[in-house]
Amino acid sequence: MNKLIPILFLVSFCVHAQNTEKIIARQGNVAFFSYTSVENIKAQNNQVLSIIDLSSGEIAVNILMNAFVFEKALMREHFNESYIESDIYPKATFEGTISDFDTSQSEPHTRIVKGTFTMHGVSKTLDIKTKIEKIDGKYILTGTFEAVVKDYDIKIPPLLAGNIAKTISVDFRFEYDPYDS
Amino acid sequence: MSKATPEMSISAENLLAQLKDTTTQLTVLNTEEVVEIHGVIKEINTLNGRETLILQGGTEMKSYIICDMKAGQTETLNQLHEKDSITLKGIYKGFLKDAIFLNCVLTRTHQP
Repeated sequence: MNKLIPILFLVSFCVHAQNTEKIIARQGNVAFFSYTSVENIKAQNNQVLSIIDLSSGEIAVNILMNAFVFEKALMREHFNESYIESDIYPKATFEGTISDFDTSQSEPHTRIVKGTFTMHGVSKTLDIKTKIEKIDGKYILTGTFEAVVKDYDIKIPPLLAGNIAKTISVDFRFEYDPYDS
Repeated sequence: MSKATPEMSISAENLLAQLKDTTTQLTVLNTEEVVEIHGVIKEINTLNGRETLILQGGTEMKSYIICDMKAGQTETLNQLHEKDSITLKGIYKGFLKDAIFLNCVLTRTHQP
């Protein structure tokens, strides 16, 4: 029994340490912009989930596609029903790793996040330049990347082709808290 | 939204328990349905410039109800505090780690 106590202590410590090494953003912000001469379209999602494992630098992002807020209801309808088909593909995901992630670095710095972005049932490998800040002990990740509409098998009707940019700009901002899983 | 008839009226704790249960999560409610939820406020924040109200999910629960509030309720929200009991309505968008609701409106507060 006496021999078991240090083992149990070690297991308990390891489980605790593992939990505290993860951080979570439950209200991540992802915004996309489409600029054309016909019209500009902007939409935001403020409930994007992201979890980072600080020990490995692994990052996961989960986006509910029907939670994007548009300026016009018709834009939202077209986005969900015709382009993204959010009833069939309700989520977009990103799974990747922050290159050379160093938790001891307290100054703002930039890293490449390499991973797979899946949207509309299509997966693409992306390298995303990401700013990492640590403010009041909280990690904040921000960045921008571009998504080519045709890469994700999103079909735009010829009549509306001039209204939607061929490349969509995507901005993100995640503010993380400790993850008590 | 304030006049919309909810598809169901349920406590935050019960709703999250059903959404986390793999046997009931697909049948409990559909996305885009209006739901009335009773719960206790965990947090009120304005992250990313949005007024958001987060409801507790229960003592053992690590999931919450995240409600993105419809505009025009700032004065009412300013009078609320953590641990207040409230009832609100919102449009269900789906479940990640938490249940997500948009266009939420407060329908009742049960302050002590």
